[in-house]
Amino acid sequence: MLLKSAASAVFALALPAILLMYLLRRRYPETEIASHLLWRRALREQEANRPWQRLRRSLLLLLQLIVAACLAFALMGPQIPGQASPAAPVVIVVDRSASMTAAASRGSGEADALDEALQAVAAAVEELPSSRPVTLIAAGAEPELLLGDETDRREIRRALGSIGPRYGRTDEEAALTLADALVRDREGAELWLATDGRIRADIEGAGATGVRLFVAGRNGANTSVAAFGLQAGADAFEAAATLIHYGSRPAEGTLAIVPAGAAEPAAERPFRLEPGEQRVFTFAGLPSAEYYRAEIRAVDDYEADNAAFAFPAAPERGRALLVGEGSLFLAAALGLAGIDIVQADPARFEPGDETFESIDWIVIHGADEKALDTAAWRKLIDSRPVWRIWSASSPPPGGRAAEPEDNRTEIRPHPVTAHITLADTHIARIVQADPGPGMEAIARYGGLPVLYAGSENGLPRLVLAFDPADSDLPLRADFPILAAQAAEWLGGAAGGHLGRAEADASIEIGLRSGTARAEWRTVETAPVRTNGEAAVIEAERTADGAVSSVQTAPGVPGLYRFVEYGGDGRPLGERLLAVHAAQAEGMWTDEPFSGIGLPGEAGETDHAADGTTGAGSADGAGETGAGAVSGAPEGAGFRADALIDLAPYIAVLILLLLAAEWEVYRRGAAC
Amino acid sequence: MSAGDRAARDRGRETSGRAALVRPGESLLRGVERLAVAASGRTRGTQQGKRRSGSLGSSLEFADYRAYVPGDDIRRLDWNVYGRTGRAYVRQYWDEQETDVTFYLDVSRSMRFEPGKEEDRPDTWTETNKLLYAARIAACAGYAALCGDDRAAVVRFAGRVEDRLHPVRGRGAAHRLFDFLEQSLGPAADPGADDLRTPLAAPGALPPRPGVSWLLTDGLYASGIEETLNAFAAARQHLVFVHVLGPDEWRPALRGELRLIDAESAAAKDVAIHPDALRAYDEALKEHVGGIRRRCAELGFVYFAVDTSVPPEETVLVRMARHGLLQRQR
Repeated sequence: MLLKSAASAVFALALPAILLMYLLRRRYPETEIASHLLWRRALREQEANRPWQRLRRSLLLLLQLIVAACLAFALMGPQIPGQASPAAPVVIVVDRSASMTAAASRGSGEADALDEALQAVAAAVEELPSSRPVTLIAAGAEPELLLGDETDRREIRRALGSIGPRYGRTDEEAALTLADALVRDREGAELWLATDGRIRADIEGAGATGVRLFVAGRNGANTSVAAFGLQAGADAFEAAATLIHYGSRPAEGTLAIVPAGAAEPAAERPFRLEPGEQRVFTFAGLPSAEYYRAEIRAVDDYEADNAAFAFPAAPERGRALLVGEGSLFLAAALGLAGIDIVQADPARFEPGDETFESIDWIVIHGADEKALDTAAWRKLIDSRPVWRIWSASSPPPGGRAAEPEDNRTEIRPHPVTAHITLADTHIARIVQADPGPGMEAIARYGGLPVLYAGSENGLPRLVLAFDPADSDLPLRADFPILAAQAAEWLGGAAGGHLGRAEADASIEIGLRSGTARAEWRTVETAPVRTNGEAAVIEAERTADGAVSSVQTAPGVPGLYRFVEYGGDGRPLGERLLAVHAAQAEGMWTDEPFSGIGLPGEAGETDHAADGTTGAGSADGAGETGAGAVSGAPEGAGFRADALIDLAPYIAVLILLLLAAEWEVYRRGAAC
Repeated sequence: MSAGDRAARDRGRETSGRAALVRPGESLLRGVERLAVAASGRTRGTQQGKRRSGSLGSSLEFADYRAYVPGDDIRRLDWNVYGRTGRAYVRQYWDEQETDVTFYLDVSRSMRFEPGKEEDRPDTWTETNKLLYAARIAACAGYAALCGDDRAAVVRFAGRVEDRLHPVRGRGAAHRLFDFLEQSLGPAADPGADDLRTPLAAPGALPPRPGVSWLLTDGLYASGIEETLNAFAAARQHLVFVHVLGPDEWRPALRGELRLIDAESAAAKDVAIHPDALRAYDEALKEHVGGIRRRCAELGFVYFAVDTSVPPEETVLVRMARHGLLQRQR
């Protein structure tokens, strides 16, 4: 029970005041009568019926004392944790962000804060009346509604058990907004939030009748590998790792740099970091390896950011076959985009098997397509992405050159047209022809299409409807960008690695041409808790079945290989992706719960996080939550409605006591 | 000064000054003169009176015929019967004797008590004072007894028998009766007892000869009433229990929380007076009165309840006559 205003105990002075009044009470007016005899008999008769009548005067005093004590007690604002109605819904929001994988509060006996929170919630659910429906929401990048108004306790336990951590960015606020929408306008609905407090969320003005906080985790220390880079030198690698320490005490440990496949680190460096210190460690003369892992060997409460992966940039270049007259500007622009150009004259060159091997895509620049009408060329052109550049001097069949009426441009969004404006560009002649089936105009100039994009047999096709020589485009900044974007779109940015990405983040991957299937292969994972993810994850596909160029990065921090396969099952190439946990999860700069907008609550939370609350047991966590809720200052957003105010009940009791007092008085209590 | 006080003062002025409070007014005396104290059964006195005696005697009241035996007074021979039948019969008449009427007047403090009045200042008392009222009834009934050729005696008692007026006879003794009653209003040596036996079971308290006794009391005795009634029966007294209570006792007008002080014992009792308590009082009163009335009926006594708020004239001339306590003289 809580006393909202214990200072009101001063009203208990009413008790001695009543005693004083009794001591000083007015004497009865004395009335002489002839004889007591009959009165004695009358009253004796009454007293004979009720033996306690003799106590009446003291009973009256006792009643008044009780009334006064009740009044004083009521003024102290007593409250007891209330029980909501048996059908009031409970909406549970479980924070499963990466920080929940940090150590549990001391003494809880759980592996991590998430387990601790889930245990606490499960225990609290067990105590709920079985009629109360439970809705379970797991916070993630998007809130996941695991259960809706479920009353089957087994189902709830199962759902709670299925909640694992998410290492990507989590949006607790979205989960709370959803929960708020679910509890709003529902009588007696309660909102339970299980979290370690390292969230930014606003539960101010939650629609719930009661908010209950399940506090998990400790306010511990975290040493993080904030960045890890690798530079391939001529004969040795150089590495740089940045460590940041969050915590209240200095951290000591060892930073180890481990090459791919090795059990022993190639280099080790002991460190001692002051709270909040950030330091860069550089390593030189590392043997070359496919990738390196930097890991912290130290006592740390949060391990998801204790390892980072790096690999040298792979200077792999694409190769394009340029058929036709060629252009110095085009060759230079493609060269800038990292494309090696192979010039070919269709009249004299017949593509062979080695051409198939070495060519990623084809540029046909003003060439007479009749000359390419051989079996070998057709086969090559049908199996490779093609960029056709029409020329007014040798237009494609049925094509004719036209002069644009004005220089208005109209650019449609497309990977090739990104960052392209064609502003201030003058185009003298534009070829108007049928670009073929499935082609779409993505840029117009003077009302005429100048750029078509589409696909044929699953391979990208791009048509530039004018000769750059007929325009001043090669002199414009747009040209190399257009060339690079075209090369990337057509060649799938072949080669190179995928770099770093946050877990579960959406990344755009330029797929190799001819990729029919792709998959993620786990090379290594960071020392974190996993949900038993498969070592091989099939890549996502678009609605029409092709491998999507937008992929979701694997959910567990670690190193992954993105392997693409051609239509014949032959691997086309593989690229490395280092996945790290959401950075914000490891930045333990703030006190837990300082982001929930409960300024007065930090102390309480510390308390819980230090593990001094009943060994972090379910009850302990729950009670701490309740205490924190009530202790929150006005405007902190927590409603204390779940606490039942006893004052009305005391008022009723006082009224009953007054009635009893009146009855006692009426029956002649003063005798 | 209340109306009652003034009436008492006036009464004192118009009469001779002696027995000013007790002596009935002239009109009441005239009314009472024609009445006599009823007595049940045959009485036996020593002097000629108006009471029909248990024995045959010389009165004018015919009783029976009886065959003449030698030695009978031939003046009583019924010559008419002898003339018709030739047999001698003598007429027999009831003997008439006087009877003793003893008035037992309770002068305890509860009888004297009147709220706000001093108990030893009878001239300040109002008409509803129980002792004054009882004394007036005794005066009327005593005067009726004297007028009916009976002997009247008065015993006043509180905690013990205080004093007594030995039997007087004849209308001329009325002033002695009134004077004694007047004296009885004066201060009593004893406040009173809780047990009626204390004064009346004492040896010599009851009359030695059979007769009529009037007990004028408020009956506020915790015990001994029944035993005292038995004692009167044992003394061959025909008892009239005149239960004198004031209107405040019949129907208490008390309200609120009071500390009641007993006039006799001076004991205090806190009472919150409310309808329930008044109802309980009424019950207690009924039970008390019922107990006395029942015992009187068992013993063949007369119970007569008096409310002092009723004018004495009405009580004496109307109610007592109707109850047969005072009868028209033969």
